[in-house]
Amino acid sequence: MSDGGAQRGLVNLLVVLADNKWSLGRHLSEWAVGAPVLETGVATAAIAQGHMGQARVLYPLLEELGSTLGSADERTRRYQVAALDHPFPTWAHVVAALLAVDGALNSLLLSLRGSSHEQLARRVGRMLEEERFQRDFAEGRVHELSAFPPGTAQLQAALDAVLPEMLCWFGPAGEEGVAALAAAGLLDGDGDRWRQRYLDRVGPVLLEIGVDLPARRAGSTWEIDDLPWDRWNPLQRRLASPSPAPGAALPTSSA
Amino acid sequence: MSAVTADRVRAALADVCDPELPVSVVDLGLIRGIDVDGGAVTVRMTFTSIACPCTEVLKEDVAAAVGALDGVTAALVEEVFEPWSRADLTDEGRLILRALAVV
Amino acid sequence: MTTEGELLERLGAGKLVEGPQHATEAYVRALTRTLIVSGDTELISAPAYLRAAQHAPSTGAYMTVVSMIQDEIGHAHIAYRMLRDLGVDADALVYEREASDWRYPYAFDVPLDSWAELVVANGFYDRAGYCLLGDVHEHTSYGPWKRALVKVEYEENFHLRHGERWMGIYAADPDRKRDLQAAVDWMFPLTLEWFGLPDHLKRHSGQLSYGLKGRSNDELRQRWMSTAVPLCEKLGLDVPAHRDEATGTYVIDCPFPMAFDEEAKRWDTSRAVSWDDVMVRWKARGPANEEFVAKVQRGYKQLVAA
Repeated sequence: MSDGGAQRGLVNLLVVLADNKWSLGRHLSEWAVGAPVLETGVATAAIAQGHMGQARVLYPLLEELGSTLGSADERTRRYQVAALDHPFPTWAHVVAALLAVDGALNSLLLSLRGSSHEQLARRVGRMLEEERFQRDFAEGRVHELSAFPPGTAQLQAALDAVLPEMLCWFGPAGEEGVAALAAAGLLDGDGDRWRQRYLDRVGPVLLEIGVDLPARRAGSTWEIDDLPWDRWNPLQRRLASPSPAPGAALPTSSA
Repeated sequence: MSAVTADRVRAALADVCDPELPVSVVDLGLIRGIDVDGGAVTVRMTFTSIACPCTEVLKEDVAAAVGALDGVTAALVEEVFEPWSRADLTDEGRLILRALAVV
Repeated sequence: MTTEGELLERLGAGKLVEGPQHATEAYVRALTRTLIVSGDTELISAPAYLRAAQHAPSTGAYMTVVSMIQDEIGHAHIAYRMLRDLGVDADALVYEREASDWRYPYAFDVPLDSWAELVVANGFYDRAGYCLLGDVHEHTSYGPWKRALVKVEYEENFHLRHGERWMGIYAADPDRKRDLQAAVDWMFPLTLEWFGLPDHLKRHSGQLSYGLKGRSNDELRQRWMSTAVPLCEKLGLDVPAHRDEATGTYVIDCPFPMAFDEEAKRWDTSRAVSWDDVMVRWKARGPANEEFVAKVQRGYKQLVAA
């Protein structure tokens, strides 16, 4: 790779993807015990291993690309979204993360599948073997949760904090670093296109159970509400805290 | 001292089993290449799934089995991240897994 | 349902019970009790191991524990599903029962606070589970359980190999060996207790006469020691038991039962207590009982009991 800027951009992007997958897997595993249905607990443990495994695929590649950061378990600072800063306080937060956080991570991974970086493309191919399973699991959990009377309201509360951050996570329109990566053939797409594809992915299942989204359909595209760009940290690819404190009050009334 | 050959390495790996299944890494189809350079051996391997919790244990076991061979001075395991499917099982591997009702 | 005579005839002929239609109320009661203990034991090991996994030395090691937790919840699910088939409200059992009413061995109420303690739990507790379930698999008269246990045993065997592997790694390093020995010191006698009252004190429960298990408590304790003691001896770990060459059986070299300080995780070897005292301790449950049951029930309670 001749373009040093693109290489640095790629390293940053991969660190962010790996750290988010790592933390997601870690926090999910904590809910293998405590899922509201035993079979779901078994599957949550399997899914958590899948996410940690995906992170495990990326860290050695980062080293080959010259990153000296090491893997997430060797660091105290992790480059993850605010939604993954704390253990999930409720099962609804778990479901929100499965759908909305992982949906964003996998969306971006899909755009790296055809990367001109052959090693990366191969590893992403392996990572995406889990993708269909992860997506089906997340959608299944949304339906399972909505079958409990307070489930939809709890999911809405959790998503209200997560969705704006994940919509920002794809970066502002025309972000330079992303354009450089795309120009070098390392990935495919840009922030606005990813955001649309993301909403195509997570929007329908949420609308189906009556969750309000910070976006609405306008023909074949989504019209997105104003996003909290004033709190967006482009280097760490996350919203500045305040992140919601764990143990936030639950909406319990059945709608 | 006998010369190190890929065949000898492969024979040694036939004794390294998955910690969860009585099937060797060879019969599972995980070994994707063996490079021998004098006494230095590099084994290229993949795993059934990236979620497999056994990768570290298996890498250690493979390196130990190769390292224990007469004439080997260095044993390295390189994970290649190639896809794996049931088609990669040997007949022997398929037979054992079928008996255990895994495949 | 059938009559006691028909049931005993069936069992005498070596035929399996496939459902309540082949059983009596007393048989179903004894089976239900046994399945609850089995399901509770598998399930409570999950929060116990998860807590200890926070001390895992690497992400790979952590993932291995998560995969064991996945197995354990799966095994619990098998037991509760069989209970459901017997007409028990399994959801209420798992998600609504008071912590003090759970029926797993007291050992899991004493929290595991290090990686050394976790791997000794794999080496000792999962071995105890393996002995008990192996016996059930070999002898149980209940067909659905017998068949389900093939996979369960295979996975439990993996857990105890994990324990042995790591105990070996720790035993090879003098500093870590001290931690390992400290864990063995409190966990060995606790696993001896796992198998319950000695045979001469055991009340008749129907487990043996209905062929729900084959070996007595003392026989199972012997079976456990017959592999656990040699393992520890091989690793240079002291345990209060040895093999008597004349009889070929294992002899316990400490007072048994003994007084246990559950907060300090320490046995008082100078003080023998009675089994009545032990029953009082078991019934009161130990330090982590409420924490672990609350962990299991939290997601459900957020959605249902809220």
